[in-house]
Amino acid sequence: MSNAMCTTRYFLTALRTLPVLAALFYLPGLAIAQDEGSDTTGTEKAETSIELVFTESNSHNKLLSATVKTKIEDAYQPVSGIEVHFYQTEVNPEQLLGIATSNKKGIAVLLVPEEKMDKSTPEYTFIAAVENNEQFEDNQEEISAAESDFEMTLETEDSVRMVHISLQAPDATGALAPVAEAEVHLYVQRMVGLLPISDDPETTDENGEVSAEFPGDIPGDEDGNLIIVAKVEDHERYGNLEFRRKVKWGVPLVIDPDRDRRQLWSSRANAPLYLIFIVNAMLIGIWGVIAYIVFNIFQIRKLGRQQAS
Amino acid sequence: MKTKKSESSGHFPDQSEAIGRDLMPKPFGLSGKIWVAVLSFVFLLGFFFYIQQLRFGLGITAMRDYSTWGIYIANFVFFVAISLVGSLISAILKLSGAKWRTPLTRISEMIAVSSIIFAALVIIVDMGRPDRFMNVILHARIQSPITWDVLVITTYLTISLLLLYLPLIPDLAFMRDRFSGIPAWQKKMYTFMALGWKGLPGQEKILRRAEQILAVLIIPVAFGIHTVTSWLFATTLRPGWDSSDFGPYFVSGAFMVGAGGVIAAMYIFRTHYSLEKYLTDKHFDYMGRLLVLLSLVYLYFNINEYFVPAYKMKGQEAEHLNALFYGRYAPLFWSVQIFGMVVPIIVLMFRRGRKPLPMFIIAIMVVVGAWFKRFLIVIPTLSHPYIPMDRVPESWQHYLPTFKEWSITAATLAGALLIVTLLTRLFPAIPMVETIEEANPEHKETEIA
Repeated sequence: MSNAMCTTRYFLTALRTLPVLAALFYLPGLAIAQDEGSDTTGTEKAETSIELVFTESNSHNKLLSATVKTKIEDAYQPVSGIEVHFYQTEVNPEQLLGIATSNKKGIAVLLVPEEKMDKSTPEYTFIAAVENNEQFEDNQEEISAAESDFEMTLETEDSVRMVHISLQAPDATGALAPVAEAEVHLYVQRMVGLLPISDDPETTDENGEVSAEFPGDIPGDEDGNLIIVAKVEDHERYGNLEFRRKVKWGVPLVIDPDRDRRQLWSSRANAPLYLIFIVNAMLIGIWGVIAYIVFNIFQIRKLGRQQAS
Repeated sequence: MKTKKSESSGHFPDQSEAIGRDLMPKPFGLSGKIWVAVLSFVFLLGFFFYIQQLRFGLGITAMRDYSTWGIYIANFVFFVAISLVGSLISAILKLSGAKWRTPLTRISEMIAVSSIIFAALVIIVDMGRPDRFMNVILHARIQSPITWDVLVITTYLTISLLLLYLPLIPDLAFMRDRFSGIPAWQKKMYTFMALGWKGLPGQEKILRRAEQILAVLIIPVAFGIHTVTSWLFATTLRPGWDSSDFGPYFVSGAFMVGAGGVIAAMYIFRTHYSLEKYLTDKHFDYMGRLLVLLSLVYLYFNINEYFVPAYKMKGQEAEHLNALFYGRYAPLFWSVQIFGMVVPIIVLMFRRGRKPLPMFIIAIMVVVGAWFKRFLIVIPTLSHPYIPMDRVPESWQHYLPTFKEWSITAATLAGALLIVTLLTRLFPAIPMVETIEEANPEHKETEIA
């Protein structure tokens, strides 16, 4: 009897572990292997770091991008959902360009509204600030950038495709002057990133210009369209400059007619009908027999009850 | 109560009482308690590390970009393999009319059920994001062998549970009616699970028919489960896996390790519960002969699997084979082939080798060899990809499981043994009523008439 009770105790102890096992699988917070974002509970405000980047796109769209991070367990983690205030020249409500909220990577992006910009001088100072936040201390970061004119033109000369780029900026008199020795990177937009079309960047000459031959074997969309991207990256005076242009210089994509056919290697939605039939027929056949066996179990029970009554 | 007893199972003579006493599940003695405690400790230690894995991800293992499958998957293949013993003993031997299999059926089904449960759990353990497990089912791609594996494992587990449960019903009724001095919950459990079994001709007829159907059904499903498991490897273009005979190679190896597992369990139950009358030398002798046959079949497939590519020695296959034959895996490879296959075949060919103790030692060699054989199937191939390893950290080029990984793997093995142990604590490891009926066939015939 005592041995039996002992065994019962072991069994009950084992049973008690089951809720723990169940909790592990069903509590989503516990089952996530990597932390995302930051946890900043506590009374003291946490410090942040701000990285501010200025980008001018197609010579008129000015973008400010602030990445906000905070230190957790000796590592900087992105702060998501935090409001970043963007100013021009100084932190002052009148100079406020706009407010943006950071995404899960901690990046807040503002497309600078032209009407709010002070264009009295060709050089700007932009400020990104974290202000009056309940969890984080106030912090700000500034960046300077000068007005520039970054252009890309595309030409076909004797069947050779050429990309011409010019970079100019206002001089002391306000007239546009060429910017020499600026490094220009050329890319083609692909689905998840930019494909460089040369190993080394091109450099602008004394006229602020650079020309490069564009390869003729890059796949485009079904119509042969490509998006060519020229970039001046992290220039000490002009920041990031970018010019994008769509052109039919790509090799038209020919869709494989087999892509949408039902094949073993097709997507889930295009599984071969014979396979769907075979697998389902086997499942129905085998599980039908299992259902019949379960029915038999109930029959055994029914006979037992009839006998008892 | 007395009347009920005589109605349900009172047709058995006094000898049946003795058999019932011998075979009834017994409380753990001191050694049993130590055994359960050790298994529980190993299981809990591995479980603790698994919590860490949930928290920090698969980074706690040695699996990296190249060795994406480590000992977890080797262990999974081992569990699937050993689970085939259920179909071997309960189905193949039953349908071939081997009466001597009776005392082995329950043990083999218990091993099958516990193994297949842990095979399924090990797959979850191998997942970096187990909280996304349902995606495997909700977004299943029917062309993928992984989908087929999920389907066939679920099916095989269900059939194995039924094959364990159905023959147990008469025993449950026997224990319900004859056992006294057991806790009330245990009595209630037997009563509930016995389904009002009274040994009526109608009940007998339904039960025998259901067992017969399951015995037929489980054979293709058993072949299916291990063939599909082999296809997880063989349908990929990798040295060592790119083989058309992986299906029968896996299935034959599975029957071999399954037989080894059941022999080891037979010896432990025989000595621990003094079951020499029921698990006789004859049973060991027959199982020894069966194991020799299965080992020879597996040896044949091994020769095919290694000799043909070794004759050609092409490209990455050559590198893979050289690593197995002469390289860093050679000591393990030759140990597994010699001690896990060749030595058992030689020893078991002699009558003296088929005595219980030598058989037990050989069975342990077969089972341990089989586990490392799965290691050798999974790991070396991943270390020899067709695209050369270039500009990767040195540590990614080798796979040496971490202590935590070993602990989690040991926990699954301990867990499977724990299930078998607890099942034998609650249910007879040898079918009671069937043994009684075989000992008194005339009573069985009278009852049916």
